[in-house]
Amino acid sequence: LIKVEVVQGGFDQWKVPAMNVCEITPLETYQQLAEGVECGIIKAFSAMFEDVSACGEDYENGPGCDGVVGLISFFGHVSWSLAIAFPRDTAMAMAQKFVGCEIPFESPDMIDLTGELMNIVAGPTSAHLVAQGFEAKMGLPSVARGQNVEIVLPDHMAYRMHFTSAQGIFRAKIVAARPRQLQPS
Amino acid sequence: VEGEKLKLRALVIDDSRIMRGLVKDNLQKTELADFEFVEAGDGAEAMDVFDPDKIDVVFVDWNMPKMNGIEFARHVRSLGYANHVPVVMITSESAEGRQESAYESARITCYITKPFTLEQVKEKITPVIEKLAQRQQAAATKSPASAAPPKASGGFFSKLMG
Repeated sequence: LIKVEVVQGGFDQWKVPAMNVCEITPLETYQQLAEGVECGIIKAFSAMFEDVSACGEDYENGPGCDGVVGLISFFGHVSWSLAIAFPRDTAMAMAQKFVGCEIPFESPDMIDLTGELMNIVAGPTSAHLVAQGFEAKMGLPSVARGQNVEIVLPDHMAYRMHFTSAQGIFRAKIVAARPRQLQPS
Repeated sequence: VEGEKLKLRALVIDDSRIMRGLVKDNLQKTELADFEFVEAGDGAEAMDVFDPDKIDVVFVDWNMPKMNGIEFARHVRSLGYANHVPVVMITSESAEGRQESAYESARITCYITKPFTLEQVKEKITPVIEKLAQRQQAAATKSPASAAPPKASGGFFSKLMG
């Protein structure tokens, strides 16, 4: 049973990238996105948390987790979205580190903070892509929180990465149409 | 004037309550002035509370619903009578070109990139606060009776005046 609470944004915002992912993203573009996202996450999170490192691509959908998922859309050459899932322990530890005091997981502040983290990640991600000549204007973040949170997509629509940090693990997904060459076998 | 501290009323605009708190906290910790805060959750809300006669400086996020920070700044500048109020953009946006053109068109005074440290905040806003202090001093010299007297003690204003 999936129990997801969409607290910010609303379902309309979730549908925006879904309408556009039908267009298959070119291979080169897809690789640029993956590189830009990894770079943006490492840069942004390293400025806030310790020992942040990328662990490469995830080839399988991870299990749903008790946690919080942030989603932010980008618009430009192609429309795509970035989703990051933070397990409860990671979210709590990051909140403590970012704000300097404990934030209850169930509080509205946890949603607020997750949205802000997505904003902060989107900045260097967009900057990296723009420097590569790739237009990527950021939208507004949406946040979902629940006991079994996972954005489930067909394999050809998501590129998954996972990361570690001193505050815990977290997973990221690029939500766009995945070129056949990069689809997991 | 010796020993007196600059008193400023700052408008902090961000759709994140946590970020508004962090901005306020860091501004107070700079000890550059004694800040009094007015808050707004987006640009549209900020327009309701923005009064250039009562707000000394604005700290605004870029990426917000309803009216974003650039739109708010453009609106403020379009008023014509609020050009003296510095607008500091606090944003994660760091793409070259996009930042400069937006700031130029909205006449942003300076920007602070998120995530920020206390030292970065202090470095960025020190020139802004210095100008405000000079302006208050000039106003006080011109019209001592009408100028609002600075309150509290110690800190930046006394160093400037000393």
